[in-house]
Amino acid sequence: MLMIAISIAIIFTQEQLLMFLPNIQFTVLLIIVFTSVYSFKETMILITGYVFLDSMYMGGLNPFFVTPMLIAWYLIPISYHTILRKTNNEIALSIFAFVFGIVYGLIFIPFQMIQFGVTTLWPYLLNDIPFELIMAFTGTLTVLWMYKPLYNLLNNIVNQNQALVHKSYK
Amino acid sequence: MKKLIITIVILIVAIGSFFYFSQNKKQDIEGEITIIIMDEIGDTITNANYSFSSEDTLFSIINSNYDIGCANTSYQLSDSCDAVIFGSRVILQIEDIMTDWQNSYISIYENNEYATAGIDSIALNDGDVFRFEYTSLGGGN
Repeated sequence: MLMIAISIAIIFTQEQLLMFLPNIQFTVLLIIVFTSVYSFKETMILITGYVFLDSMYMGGLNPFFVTPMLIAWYLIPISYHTILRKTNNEIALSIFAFVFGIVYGLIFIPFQMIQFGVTTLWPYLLNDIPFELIMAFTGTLTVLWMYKPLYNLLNNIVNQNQALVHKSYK
Repeated sequence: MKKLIITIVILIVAIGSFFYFSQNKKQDIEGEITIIIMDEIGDTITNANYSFSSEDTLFSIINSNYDIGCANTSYQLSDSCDAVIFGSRVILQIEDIMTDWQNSYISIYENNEYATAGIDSIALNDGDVFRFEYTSLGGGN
């Protein structure tokens, strides 16, 4: 649980620090890394905590943002444990990060249509393309270059912690 | 090697996309536009004509003729309306019309059609009519 709390703090802090850059952040990379190291259940708890914290801070828990955010971020652990077959191949994961960047923006569309009206579909779609692309490019490059070192580091930390816990019980 | 090739391809496409989306649409060298501002009950509070030259943008015309407030990075109302690195500024307040982005926003209509670009990316053409409308979330005003 402590590791999950620290992971949420890391995601939230880096996102706030990079807020001045539109859609450029390490969230996709970090969630993929955490998904690879933690169990499915732990990742789902982590994502839920992160989305609620982020939404409380940014927009007063607006359901039109919280719901698509939860659906979108849950796609990472769901995909990792199904179609990606728990791969640690950074090229496969970077391609997934690219697709995720586009899908993330598209998931918001039905909720935006409910909120802003059906007539905003086309303007929203057109306006969102550059931001979807930024998220896709950032996700691809960060996963490609930083996934392996971060995965190895976090995996070592988690394994060491588990060994310590195991020893203290003996 | 594969990683390097993917990186180069991504960077080329990213730079190409950046230039494509940063390009402003062609606008007339000079002309006159009409700006209509509507409040929360649908009343027109301004209906005025402004002449423009090639250096003007819709934002500069609004900024020099009205008291406005823009959204900061957290979508909170801010007096500072500095240009953004990418995309477009978001106007939350024009004169007495205040919006909060969570429950209401100011929609822009270009010649009676919902604008498909932000205020910084809209080209000015002679005779254009821009309507800034208080819109509460859930559709309509």
